[in-house]
Amino acid sequence: MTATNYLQNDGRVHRFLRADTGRFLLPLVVLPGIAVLTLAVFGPWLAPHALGTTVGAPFQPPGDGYLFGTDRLGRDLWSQILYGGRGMLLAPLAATVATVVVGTAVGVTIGYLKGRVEAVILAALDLLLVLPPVLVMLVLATGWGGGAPVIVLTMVLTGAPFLARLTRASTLEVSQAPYVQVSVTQGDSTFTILRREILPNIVGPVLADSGMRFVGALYLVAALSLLGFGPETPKTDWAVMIRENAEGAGLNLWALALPTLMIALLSISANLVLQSIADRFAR
Amino acid sequence: MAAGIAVLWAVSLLLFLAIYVLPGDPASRILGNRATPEALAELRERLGLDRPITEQYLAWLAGILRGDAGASTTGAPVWPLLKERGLNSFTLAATASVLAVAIALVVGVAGGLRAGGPVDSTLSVGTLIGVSLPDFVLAGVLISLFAFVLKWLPPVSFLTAGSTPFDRPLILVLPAVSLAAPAGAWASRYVRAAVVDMRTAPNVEAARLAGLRTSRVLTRHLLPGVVGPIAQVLAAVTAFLVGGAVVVEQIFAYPGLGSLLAGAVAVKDFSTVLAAGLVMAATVIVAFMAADIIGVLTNPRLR
Amino acid sequence: MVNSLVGSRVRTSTQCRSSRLVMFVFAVALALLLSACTVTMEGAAEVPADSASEAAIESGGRVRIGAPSEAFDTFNPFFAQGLADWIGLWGVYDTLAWLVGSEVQMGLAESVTPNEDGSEWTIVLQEATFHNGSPVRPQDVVYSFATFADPEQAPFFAQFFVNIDIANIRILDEKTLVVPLHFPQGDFLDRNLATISLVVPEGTAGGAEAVGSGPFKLEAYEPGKSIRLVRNEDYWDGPPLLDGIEVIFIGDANARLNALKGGEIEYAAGINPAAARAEADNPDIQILPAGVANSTAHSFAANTTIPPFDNPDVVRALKLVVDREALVNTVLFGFGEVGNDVVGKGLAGYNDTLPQVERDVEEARRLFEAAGVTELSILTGEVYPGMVAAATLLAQQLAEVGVTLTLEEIPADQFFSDFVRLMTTPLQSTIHTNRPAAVHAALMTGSQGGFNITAIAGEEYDALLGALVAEVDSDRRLELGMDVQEYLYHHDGMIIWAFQEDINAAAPGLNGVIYSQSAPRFHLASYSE
Repeated sequence: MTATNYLQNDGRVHRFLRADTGRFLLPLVVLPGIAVLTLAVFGPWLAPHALGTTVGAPFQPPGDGYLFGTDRLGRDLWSQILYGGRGMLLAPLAATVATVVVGTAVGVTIGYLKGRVEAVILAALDLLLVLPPVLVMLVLATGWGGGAPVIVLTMVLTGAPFLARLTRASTLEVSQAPYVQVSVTQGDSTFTILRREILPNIVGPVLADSGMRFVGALYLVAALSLLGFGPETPKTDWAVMIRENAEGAGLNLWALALPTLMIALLSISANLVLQSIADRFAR
Repeated sequence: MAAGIAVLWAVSLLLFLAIYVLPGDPASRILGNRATPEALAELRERLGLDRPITEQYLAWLAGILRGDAGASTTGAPVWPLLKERGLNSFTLAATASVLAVAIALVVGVAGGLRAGGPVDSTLSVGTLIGVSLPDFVLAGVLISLFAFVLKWLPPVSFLTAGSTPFDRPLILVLPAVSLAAPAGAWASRYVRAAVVDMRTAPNVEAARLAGLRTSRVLTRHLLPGVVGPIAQVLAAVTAFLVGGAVVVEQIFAYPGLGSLLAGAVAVKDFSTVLAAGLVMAATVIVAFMAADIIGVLTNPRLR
Repeated sequence: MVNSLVGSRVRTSTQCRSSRLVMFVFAVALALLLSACTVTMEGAAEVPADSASEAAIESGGRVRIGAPSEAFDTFNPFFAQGLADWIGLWGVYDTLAWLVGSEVQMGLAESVTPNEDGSEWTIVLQEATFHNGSPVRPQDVVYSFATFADPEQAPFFAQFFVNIDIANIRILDEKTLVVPLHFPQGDFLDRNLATISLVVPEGTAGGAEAVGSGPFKLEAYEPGKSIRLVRNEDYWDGPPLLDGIEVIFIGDANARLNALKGGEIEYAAGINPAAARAEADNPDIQILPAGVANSTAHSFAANTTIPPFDNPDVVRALKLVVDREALVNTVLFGFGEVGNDVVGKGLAGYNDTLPQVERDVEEARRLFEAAGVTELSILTGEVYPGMVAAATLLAQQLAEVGVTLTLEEIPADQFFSDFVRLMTTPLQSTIHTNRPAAVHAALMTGSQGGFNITAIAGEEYDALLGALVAEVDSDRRLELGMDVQEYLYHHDGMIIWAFQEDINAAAPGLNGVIYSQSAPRFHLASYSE
């Protein structure tokens, strides 16, 4: 029902989703992308001040040795930014990987093995597809509070069905191809065929899709923090910083602008990077 | 239709189970650390939690079928509030969808017709950035610019007793644009793909070779072919907007379904969470079904 | 806010983490209310000094008020918790008596007088009618008391009514009733009635059809949207100046400020201190810090019966190590005043003869070393903005004297919910609504205190407090209050480091807003653009 047609189209539509972006994008991606990713990963080691240390008056403008001034508790804003990136990167990354793995596994399995189980699983996938991610996230959050597990589970539940549909369509297509049929008649094991013939052919669309998965997961992480389910102090992330520091934008604009900018940059560059990689694979 | 109802029923079961299976039963979550064995037992009895779960589910389902979604923790019936908030959310989502489609069509067709060219590449980069730009970031920028620098639009979108969004449509503009820009950018990529696909379709090729003007090829042959896929994308956008506007609603103080859900989750008001979740899922199902119908109607091979 | 209103915050603060900002605002609003009271009250009562306010004292105008609510607003006086609800309720309903700053003022009650030992109180009502034309009767008061006393219907307020022997209330005539108490109480008016004593018509409970006897009539109420009130031309105390007010539910403090700056509302109930600082020079809005009388007291609470704080020297050392000025400037953005370990600053009966506790690092170090204390831990949570920040700063201040402080942070929605934990934690962050010292002491401290987390009690103190509570003569009660405060100052483990003011903001033409227990009241307000 419902979502089915749209997603079955996807295998076909997806070929055209790959714009000729790589050439133009690379230079755009490389600098800010690497910068933001580096800061997110290595930030805690680069931070001039320890996490959560108050160094002066709150919402001081840049100066006095504080690159971007201070936040609402008088902590060095730049240090907080450096500490706040990992959660922002890791939770969506974990969610993306989990979604891709689960979605691909389910999709390839039902696409290649078919059978009666397929119909049942497809129906279950359709069911999950009508659940809005924010709803799932909030329901899970009532039980478990915030945190990465809620994000990962939400993304797997709401994103994997989409991916499963996608990879199932690609798998069906590839498995009909003559060279795969030859492989089958040669008596290669199912596993070998999957690994050698099928997986390489679906890597492109899956990667292209994973960019959007990452963006979606990052948005959920941010939304959870913005709604007040974020990490508890002193732990922080960029969305928590937006929430905490919005009130002080009039005193130190960076306190609001910098975390906002970092989230936007991370989201954009992660998507662009994954898109460029997908383009590579597609050629 | 039957399929839709079946899915909706399955969703209700899923939501109900999720709430009851998650760590801590509703009673212990409502009481939190105040939970003493006596208080728990008393509250469980009051909420009917001491009955078997199947019985509870059937009772709840029977209520829903009668149009009674139960009472919230304040004792007020859930349904009237839900209806009002749902309509507000729907109005905002519809406005955002229209904007998103406009963006998607213009950008997607422009890029698709010139696939591979510099315009296309630029637009592709643009839409990738647009897709990745969180709505709350955009909302902040739009408020500063249009409400405080230019003073054209209100910075908040609250409603007062007795008023609806239609009484002051201007309040919808900023939240709708914040939501529509990422959604439109996302949808435009599918439109572009569909246009590229259709460009090589036999009837379009033929029309072009017959020397028809580009605009005519576009309106008569190309666009009708992409309506189906676009309807599907539109349905996905609507689905996203119905549930996904929580943060934007909060920023603009707009009384919608998302903020109701967030509030209900925070105070562990399960009747409201269940009912709101059901309404959201129903909207998504209807949107996809409508898209399916549009797809069938506009596809000559299926008609 | 109701939590603050009620004082003992035994109920989960707002279970709503997403509304921490809201709570913040609330509390801020509450505090503001109290402090602004004094200022604005004078302005309204006397002829305002500047011509702008003079022009403002004209009838007319409507004021839109942005205020936070809890997740769900109800407009039910027995159940309401959100500030928005309460601004509306205090417009529609009258209270028998109410607090303006530290002054108890008579409202719907013409007089409230105790018998000799405070075991019976006679209430005489004003000649007043409800908005539907029916008179306010003693029966309505009895019904209101009975409903408030029912923990099922009024879970947050019942504690203020438990001492009333409702079954034995006697109605003498159509204006007079005699209220017996289970236990004699000299401060029944100050402590109970002035805190909450709303009167509703018998058999009602607010809602969309609410009918009261207050200065404004309810015109429309829709949950999640607004409460619209119009002037009650027949108000017994004279009709208000404003044509009407509309309380609009805006949960986010930044959104409220945006709405005010954008001209969408005329009054923002509760804005963030940093934002207030930033907008101080904006000519289009007036920032209204409510002053210390409408404030929230921030404390580090040390339980005097649990080691190491059973050693008075350790408590003393802790008091000396806290840099109160730094906390006020950093955590409160200067919107507050340093505390002196007694609640009630800026209010009647405050003992300001006690010397201000000053920081003394050397003495603190010596006392900690002598007691062998090198490590402490504090339980904290962001129940109210700044609590965790203050604990963080305390850790740094303690480090200066060689004591390591570990922060144990728990979610705000669980902070006040575990009563046993609250009573057995050696050191924790806490907050109190600033209320008159005598009222606070009676509510919170001593063996009978409902929320005595420092375990300050003992025969000597209980006797002091008992005398205070039972005293009917108000001058004598004032003296006894001073003694109680002095005892607390020397022996309690409650380190009240600051009073955080509520901060509201308004359009320039709005004057005469009065604050009662941190909630604004608009019946004497005027507005001209």
